[in-house]
Amino acid sequence: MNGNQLKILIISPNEFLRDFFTVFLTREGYKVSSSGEVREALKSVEREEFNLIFLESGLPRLNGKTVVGKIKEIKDIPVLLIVAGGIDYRTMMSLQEGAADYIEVPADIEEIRDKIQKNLKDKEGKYV
Amino acid sequence: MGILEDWFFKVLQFVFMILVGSMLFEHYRSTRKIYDLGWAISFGIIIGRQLMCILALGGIIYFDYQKVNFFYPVLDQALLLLFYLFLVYTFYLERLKREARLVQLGAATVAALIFLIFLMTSYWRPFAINQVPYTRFWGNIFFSVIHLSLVIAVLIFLYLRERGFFRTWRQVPFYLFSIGHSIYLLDMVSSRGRVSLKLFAGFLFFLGYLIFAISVIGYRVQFKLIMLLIAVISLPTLLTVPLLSAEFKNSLINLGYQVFPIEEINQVIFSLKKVLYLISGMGILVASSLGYLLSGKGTSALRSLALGADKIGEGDLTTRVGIERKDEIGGISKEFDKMAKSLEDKTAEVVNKQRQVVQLERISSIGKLAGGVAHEVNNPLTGVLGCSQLGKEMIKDMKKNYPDKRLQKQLDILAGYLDTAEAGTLRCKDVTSSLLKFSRQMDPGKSETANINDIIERTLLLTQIQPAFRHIGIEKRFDSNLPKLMVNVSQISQVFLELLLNAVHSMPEGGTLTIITSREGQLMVIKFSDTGSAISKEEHDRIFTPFYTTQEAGSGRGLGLAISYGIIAAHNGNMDIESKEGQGTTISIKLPLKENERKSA
Repeated sequence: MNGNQLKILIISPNEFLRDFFTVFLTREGYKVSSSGEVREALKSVEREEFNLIFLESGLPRLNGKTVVGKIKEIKDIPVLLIVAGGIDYRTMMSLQEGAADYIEVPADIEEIRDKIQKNLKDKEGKYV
Repeated sequence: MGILEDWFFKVLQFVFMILVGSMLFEHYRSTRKIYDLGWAISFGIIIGRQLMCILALGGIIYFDYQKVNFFYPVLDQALLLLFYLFLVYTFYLERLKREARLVQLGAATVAALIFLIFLMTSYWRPFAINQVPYTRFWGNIFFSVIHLSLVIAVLIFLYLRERGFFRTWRQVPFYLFSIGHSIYLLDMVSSRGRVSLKLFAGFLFFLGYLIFAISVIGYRVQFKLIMLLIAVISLPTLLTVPLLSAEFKNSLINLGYQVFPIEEINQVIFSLKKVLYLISGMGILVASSLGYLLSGKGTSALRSLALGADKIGEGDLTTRVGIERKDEIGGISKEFDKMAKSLEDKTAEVVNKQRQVVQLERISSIGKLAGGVAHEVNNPLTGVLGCSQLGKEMIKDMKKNYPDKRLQKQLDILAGYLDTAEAGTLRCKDVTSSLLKFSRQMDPGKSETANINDIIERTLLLTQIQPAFRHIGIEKRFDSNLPKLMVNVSQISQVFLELLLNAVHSMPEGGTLTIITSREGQLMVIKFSDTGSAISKEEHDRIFTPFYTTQEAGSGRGLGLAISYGIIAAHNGNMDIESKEGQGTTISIKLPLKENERKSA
């Protein structure tokens, strides 16, 4: 994957989650950006190309839409939800608005790898 | 008006006052309100005054008329003024706070008693009589002026306090008192001693006392008693009026002249008068006290009923009247007690319900706290678990790449450490996930109008991602014309999720899950039918009890169906389970349309 590194964005206000996913995904060979602030993250989605987004589930809605909905308005990038507080109605809403899947953390790294593999899109929009 | 008639008149008033005063005191005993004691004490003062007058007049009659002639009106008027002041003071007491009332009433009573003692001692000091500088006429003028100006002052005070002349009924007696007194004083000043005027003034007093008592005690129970009092008082009074009139006396004398010599007649009349006064005075006393006792018997049941009602009104629901009588009052009191009991029971029930609500709220806040804690712990736990596993992977790689034996040994030890860390983290994960589960069950959430089909769709989205759903076909038969319902969306979706997962787990080899929504009259019916293994009869009965599960221990389920049942019940709905071997299981939920719709209106 060198040279043609796939890019992943992590959106979570929680430092622990950001740190772990950055460490893990970097080690897995991806180019990782992370953001703790949703509006800032949406700007970078607009600016840059990402192949996958990890999004903490349960963030407050923006103008009546989930963050997933907002991302999908900008670009069709697969979004994986990180669920730390159990599946709730907001998770369901996010899935309805286009999130690809969810990971209940703490999760086995094998499971995370599995979900990335299933949902990662390369630059041409094809699943890797 | 002769001194004997005056004395007799005073006795009459005295009896009346005793009755009114005892009524007021009785009233205080039932209400236990401190200003009611104030009314009673002020009446006590006027009774004391009346007693003084009677004693004084008695003294005048039987001892030295002239010696006490001046001090009698002094005492009379002074006590009367004390009475006025105390009444007005009690008006003022009503507006104070409880503790202030107690202190002030105590202080005022002590002051009044000291004043009374002072008056009595100064009155009985014989040498004071010789120092009187006034004639009787000027003495009367003097007291009339002082008295009238004080009466006017009291009236002005009342006017200012009540902000008007006729704001409360309690003002009226004061007008009657002042008119009566003015007449009385006028008569005194003119020294004519007209019986009819004095009687008129006396009746004004009676009326004043009466209105006063009624205004304090109220009309309710005492009305009968008051009517009786009027009868008892007015009858002998009216009877004695002709006795007191000059014409009657003259005609009697004229009649007697023809039979007996004048001195004899006078003697006879005087002794006759004495006997008559004595008899009628005794008669009044006996009749009124008897009447009071009798009327007390008649009304005591009613009074205890009224008291019971008052006590219940004040919140003492354990009050029972407990009158054992066979008449209507007995019946009413029985009904009253019954009512009080049911009121007590119902209140206890409400209190109990309230306690339950508080308990629920407490549990719900504990649930929220637990959920928050679990969420917060899960975040760092993610890193601990992930990094432990990553570390183990690295160790595996290193062991492959570095065959040095000592290093291999060290790496094994390190892997052991990481195993321990991982196992601990997984245990933590179990704890947090059960905390989250608990939290979600306890979350009362918010109710909102929602389309049930939409909620099911969303829940399906969530479950379809799971690998267990891969071999399950899902058939949706939704009635698209269903009205929206006022439901707790978060809870209802938990129920659907639970039912979906249950269905999928009962079909490990694959199958079809059919979800049907429809309307049946005033009910919305949602059915989840699977083609999996059936539930046995035994399980059927226990399936809605908490912690029961058909799945193996540790799969994290079991509480689900019972909680779901509870949630549906909270929505005034019903949940049924139907299971037959070979045909799978159908769980149907029925939610009332009307109630849940009305909530949304």
